[in-house]
Amino acid sequence: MLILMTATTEIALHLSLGTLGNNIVAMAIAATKAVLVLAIFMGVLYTNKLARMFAFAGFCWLTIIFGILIDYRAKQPIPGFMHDQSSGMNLSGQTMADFAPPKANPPETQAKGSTDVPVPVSP
Amino acid sequence: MTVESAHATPVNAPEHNPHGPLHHQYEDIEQQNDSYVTGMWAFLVTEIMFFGGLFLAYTLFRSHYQNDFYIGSQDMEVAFGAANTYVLLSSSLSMALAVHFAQLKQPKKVPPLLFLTLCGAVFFLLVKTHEYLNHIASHHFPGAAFIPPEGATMHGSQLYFSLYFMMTGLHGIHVFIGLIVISILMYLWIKRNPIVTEDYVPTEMVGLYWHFVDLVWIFLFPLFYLIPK
Repeated sequence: MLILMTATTEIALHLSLGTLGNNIVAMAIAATKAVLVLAIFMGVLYTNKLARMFAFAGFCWLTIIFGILIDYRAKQPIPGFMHDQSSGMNLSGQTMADFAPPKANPPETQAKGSTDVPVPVSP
Repeated sequence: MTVESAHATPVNAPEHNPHGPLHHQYEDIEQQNDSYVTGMWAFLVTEIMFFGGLFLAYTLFRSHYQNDFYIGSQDMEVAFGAANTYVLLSSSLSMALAVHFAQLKQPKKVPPLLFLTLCGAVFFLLVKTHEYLNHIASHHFPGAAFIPPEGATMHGSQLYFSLYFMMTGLHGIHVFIGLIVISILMYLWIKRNPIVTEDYVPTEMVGLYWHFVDLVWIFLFPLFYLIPK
């Protein structure tokens, strides 16, 4: 009944965390790591290789996503990335003004009238 | 639910499957058990992803608002958290023993242990509800009525408490779901339903889920209750 022993040692560890201090963080994380080992050796050791791969993949996912996103706060917003109100600019520095339709030409006067029949513009 | 529907067949027990617990698409019982456990682990990986994102958010915001998080954690009653931790650990233990006796095919010993696990779950949920009501009464629920605790900024402490309610609330929902599933499992064992007596794997899958729920709380407790100066 190893389960019983490890469970009681975990509980004892948690009770010993009653006195606060700066080293409590390290102790707490160590205690939680030990419980993780408990869940693992109870679950994963007795499973087949495929299930173990899934469990390992979950752990890898956590590590990867933590590693990638941990510098989230160090980044500034990219201008124009999410069509937000902060800048009217896309990544190439264009604004809505760059996409406005070209100004219509002034209508031609009769004096300048050409004999050509105006060609209808295809839609 | 995944546990019951995995065995659902048109004909009723006990002669619901002429090969015993082995279903016809599997070559032997070991392969069937392996596939069930693998599927359960695949689900647990999704749960890891579910909680992992929130833990990441916690890490990021705590590193930026360390003082507010410390002040917020002073508002948590460590005694409640420690009691919950102890109770969840014991319920994990009783669950593991239940799985053990299910493997040994001793149907008499399984329901009492499952009942112990259920008691742990109910105790946890009651204590959590009490804590939530306390926090809501003292204006610590993020929203229009939020009043930051002494010495904390509005922004940082609201972040702390919204993370607290979000993560422990999500965990509490998982505990509640586990409570329902374990009570169904206990009912099936009491009725000696062949779904659970023939093969121990459904019990083991529920055990895996419950251990995962316990593991998440093991990480949640020091993060919210035991923040040092």
